[in-house]
Amino acid sequence: MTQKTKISIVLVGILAIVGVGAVVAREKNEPCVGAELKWMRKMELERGPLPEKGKISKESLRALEKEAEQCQAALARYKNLTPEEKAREAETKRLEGEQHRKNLEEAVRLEQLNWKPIPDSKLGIKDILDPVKGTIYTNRWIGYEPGKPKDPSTYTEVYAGGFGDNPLQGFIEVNTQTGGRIETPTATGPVKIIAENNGVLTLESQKGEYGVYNPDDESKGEIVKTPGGELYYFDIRNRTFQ
Amino acid sequence: MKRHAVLMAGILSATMAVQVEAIQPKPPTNTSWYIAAAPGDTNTVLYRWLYNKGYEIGQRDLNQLAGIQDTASILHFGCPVVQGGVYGASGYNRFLSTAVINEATKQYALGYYYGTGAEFSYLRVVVGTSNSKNCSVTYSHGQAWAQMVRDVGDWLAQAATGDKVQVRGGIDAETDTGTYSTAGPARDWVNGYASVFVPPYWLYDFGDAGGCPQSGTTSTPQLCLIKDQSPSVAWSQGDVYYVSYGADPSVPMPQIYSTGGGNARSWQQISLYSYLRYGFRIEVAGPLSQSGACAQPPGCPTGINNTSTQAWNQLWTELNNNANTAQNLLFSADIRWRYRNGVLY
Repeated sequence: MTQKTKISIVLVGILAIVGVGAVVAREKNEPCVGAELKWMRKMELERGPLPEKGKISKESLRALEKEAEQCQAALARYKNLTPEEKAREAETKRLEGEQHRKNLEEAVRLEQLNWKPIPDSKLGIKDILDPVKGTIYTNRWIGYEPGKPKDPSTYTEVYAGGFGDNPLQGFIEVNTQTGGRIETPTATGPVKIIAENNGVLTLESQKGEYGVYNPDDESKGEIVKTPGGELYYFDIRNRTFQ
Repeated sequence: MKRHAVLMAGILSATMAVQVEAIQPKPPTNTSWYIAAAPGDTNTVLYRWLYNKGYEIGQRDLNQLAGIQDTASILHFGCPVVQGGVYGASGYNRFLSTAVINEATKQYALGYYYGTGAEFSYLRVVVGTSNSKNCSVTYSHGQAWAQMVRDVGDWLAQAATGDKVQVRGGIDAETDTGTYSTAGPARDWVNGYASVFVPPYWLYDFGDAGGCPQSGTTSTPQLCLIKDQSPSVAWSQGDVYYVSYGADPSVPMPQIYSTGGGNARSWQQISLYSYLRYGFRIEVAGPLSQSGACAQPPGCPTGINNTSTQAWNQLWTELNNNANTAQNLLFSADIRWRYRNGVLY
């Protein structure tokens, strides 16, 4: 191998190592050039002239650049400030922020003086609007702990359902710090609240077919048939099944 | 011998360069929130909470992270609701009108603005809802949501916060028709959003591709068949494509929860479907993980608690294993609950 070849190989090795270092270091962000703007500019380079309208378009690029202009104007102004002016601005901003926080605290305090409990008409057994992945929620009960004054500390939410990865097993979930998830004494299916009487919830297990939740591929997995029809009684005060 | 050693050193270094280039370094992950109602909540309590959280992120960007930060944070206000003719979201058990969500988002922006001090880091706030089947997943709600996002954007454009904070729309569009809508209403909602949309108020889809194929994609859309559901109600890859990218405002920022990598594979196949059918890949903004939510009692089922790093690496690797879907990502986000099991976070 000639000397020239040896040197070339070593240079390639050095360049590769430098390349590694450059790639490993995350690209630094520039002020006022957000990730979306960078991406749109990159699309323009990759795809050539952009169409006027659409997701990746001149219109979109202009909109992002306009957003950046506000930041760029503020940055240009900031750069021209003396260190003393910068320090004064920072302090003014800090004080503004503190005052804003105080205003919010005061607004909350005044509101709390007029606090009223949720009216009875809005309490009781309710639907659940928002699902949670991998868990079977059926419905909920909201109210205040029986026998205690109605205030935020006695407000209670009780959710009913079953485990997504084991649909036979129902549970009650008391949404308080001392609550947590409590399994039904027997496993007959996800449970649903059907009545409340003097602080005791009546729940009924649901008959049906449920796919066992498969977190890696929801198209696969077994189907479980739940017998349902079983009644359970949950004491909200004691957080136990009777 | 010496010649061989030098040659090997060069080859090894070049190989290392190729291998390290396979994983784009993850940027800092920002926290996203399920804005769940807490006992005693009023609108002002919510505004104060969001201001404080925005301020915390600003302080983190200023004091804990080197350099300019550029992140996205999703505020998920719950499913779409119309109450007494007023559009809004469920607030996870306390209805929030679009006027309240508008103000709440501004407070988050203000908190960030004051928290970042003099630094020019910036935050993209994604104001999100979902396609829960029990809710008002309609064209008109999509319109109202887009208008709200534009109103917040217009306010930011004339307020000092606009230097640092931008707003986008968001939807958690999911395919499990046991609990979420079929594709039809989701498409309607997105079309409603699109009818009011102007750039740059894009719609980030931070939903899922549950049940969608993890291999074997062609230009013909396949069903995303969740095992206990009928094919007649199933989403297809075409539906997921449309809601997350095909519609003009839409950009995917998908849930990459599963530790086994299945979510990342499904989304790579959606991108491949786009390439095979339309000639271009989808452009994925980045992954959403939920390790924060899984750490909050009562936790998550096993197997869907990817860390933000796992989510990032899985998604990037799957997309870049195929030249037709290869791309870099923009953002990393992780979501947690505002209120859960009696604790206000």
